[in-house]
Amino acid sequence: VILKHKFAGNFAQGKSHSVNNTPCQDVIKLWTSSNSKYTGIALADGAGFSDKSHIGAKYMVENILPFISNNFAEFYEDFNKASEKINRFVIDSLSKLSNSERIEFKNLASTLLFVCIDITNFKYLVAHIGDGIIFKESKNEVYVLSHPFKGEFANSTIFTTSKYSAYKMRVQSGEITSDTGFLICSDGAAEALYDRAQKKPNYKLSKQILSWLDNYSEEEVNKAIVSNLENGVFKEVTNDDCSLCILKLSTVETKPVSLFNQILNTFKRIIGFNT
Amino acid sequence: MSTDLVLRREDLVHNPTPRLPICLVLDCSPSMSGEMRYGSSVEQTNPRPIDELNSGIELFFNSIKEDEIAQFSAEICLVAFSGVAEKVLDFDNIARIEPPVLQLEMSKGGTSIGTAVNLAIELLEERKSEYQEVGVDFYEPWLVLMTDGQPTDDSHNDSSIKVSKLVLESRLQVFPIGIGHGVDMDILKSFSPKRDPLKLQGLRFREFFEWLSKSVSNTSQSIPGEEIPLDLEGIKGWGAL
Repeated sequence: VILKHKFAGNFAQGKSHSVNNTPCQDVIKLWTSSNSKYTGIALADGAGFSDKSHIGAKYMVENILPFISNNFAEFYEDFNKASEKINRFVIDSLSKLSNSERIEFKNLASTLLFVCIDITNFKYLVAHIGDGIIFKESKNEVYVLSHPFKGEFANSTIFTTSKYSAYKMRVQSGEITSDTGFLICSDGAAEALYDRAQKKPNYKLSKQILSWLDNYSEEEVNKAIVSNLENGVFKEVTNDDCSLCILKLSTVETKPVSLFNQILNTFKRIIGFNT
Repeated sequence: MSTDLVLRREDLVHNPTPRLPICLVLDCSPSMSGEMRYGSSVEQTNPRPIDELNSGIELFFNSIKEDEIAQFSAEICLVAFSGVAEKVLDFDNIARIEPPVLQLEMSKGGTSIGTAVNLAIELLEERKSEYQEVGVDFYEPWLVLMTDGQPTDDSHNDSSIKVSKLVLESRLQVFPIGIGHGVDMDILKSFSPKRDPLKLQGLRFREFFEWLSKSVSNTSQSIPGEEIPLDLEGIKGWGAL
């Protein structure tokens, strides 16, 4: 059995940023490894206190998924260790960027959310720093896999540049099937997709978004996302930048197995030969 | 674009606007009457400070009500004090209430700043607990302290330590404002370890409350990670160090 994936994602500048003439600080990445064994989606929302934070956000989404894929097996086995090692990678990466770009380290701060999938072994790893949401769909139900981390006050959260803690880098892992989907979004988009008081998804909208890749091409869904972010319901509820990415395991293909291979596999099973 | 690729307004969740709790702690002691005695002669300032204060509060309420975001975010509580402290207005959404008209506490002389600040802290903590119980996000609370006098008891010693701790932990924003020549700015400074207290120029209460409402508006539109700098240029219109 081979799982196939589709993904889509986009972002839009919020009114508060366009009025203040600050760039959109939400950045996304849709990524597949060159050998197609790993795939993933990543999203980062640059910190509002810095006008350079989108540079740190972009650097993290560009580099995090290749790093995770290179260490996937190890991180999957022990996600406490993974949490520390991913945090170290984030801090080291931003320190190097800070030196090369001559930008103060703290001004590269962003949130970070990603889903990385080992598509041949049917496994996923997700990690989350700060606010925004990671939703998971399974058996046609949507639930929140990772809630936003908020400080005591509405305009406070944890960033990539913050001191390490278990709250900072939240890592989870699990298995995927042909009906698994992931939706990640920044805090701006979460205003429409997440009920803060109940800590529950907006089931109707999140299911609708997750269904798009079942019926439309990635290109069509990318256009739909940006159209909804720029002109639709998101503008009704937030002035903040908005971004979201979807990854869907949407189809199952069965590899044709020749009669010779079927006999060979049966023979291997009988003699206990383990590949 | 196909209709199922369009998200409908009717399907939105309606998250409450994050609240900004503000407690105004205002001196209503007899000195706010503007009456000054020189031996047997009495001079009366015109207008009276208490009237200008009331006029400023009214302007503050109206400015917030006209702001499309701040009107849903700002929640105001008012503590009036002289020798005693009293909650004049409990926390409520500003759009639903009319500005109170403060009265001078002529029969209760004295200026118990500490008692008033302690009451304000208690009210702010209660309100924060209520937000947390119902899952409403909120910004760092504000405490605005305005007085024209010097404390007539020692209650400010304990309350200033309590407030300073909250301020240093970034859990409370304090705006201490002195009025007139009789105010002890050192006492006000003891409540505000991060920024110096400001002195109102003359009776520019309206200008102060206009500035305050703009600051409320800026904070109510802030997003995670955003630092809201004070409008220092705006302070020049009403205050001085």
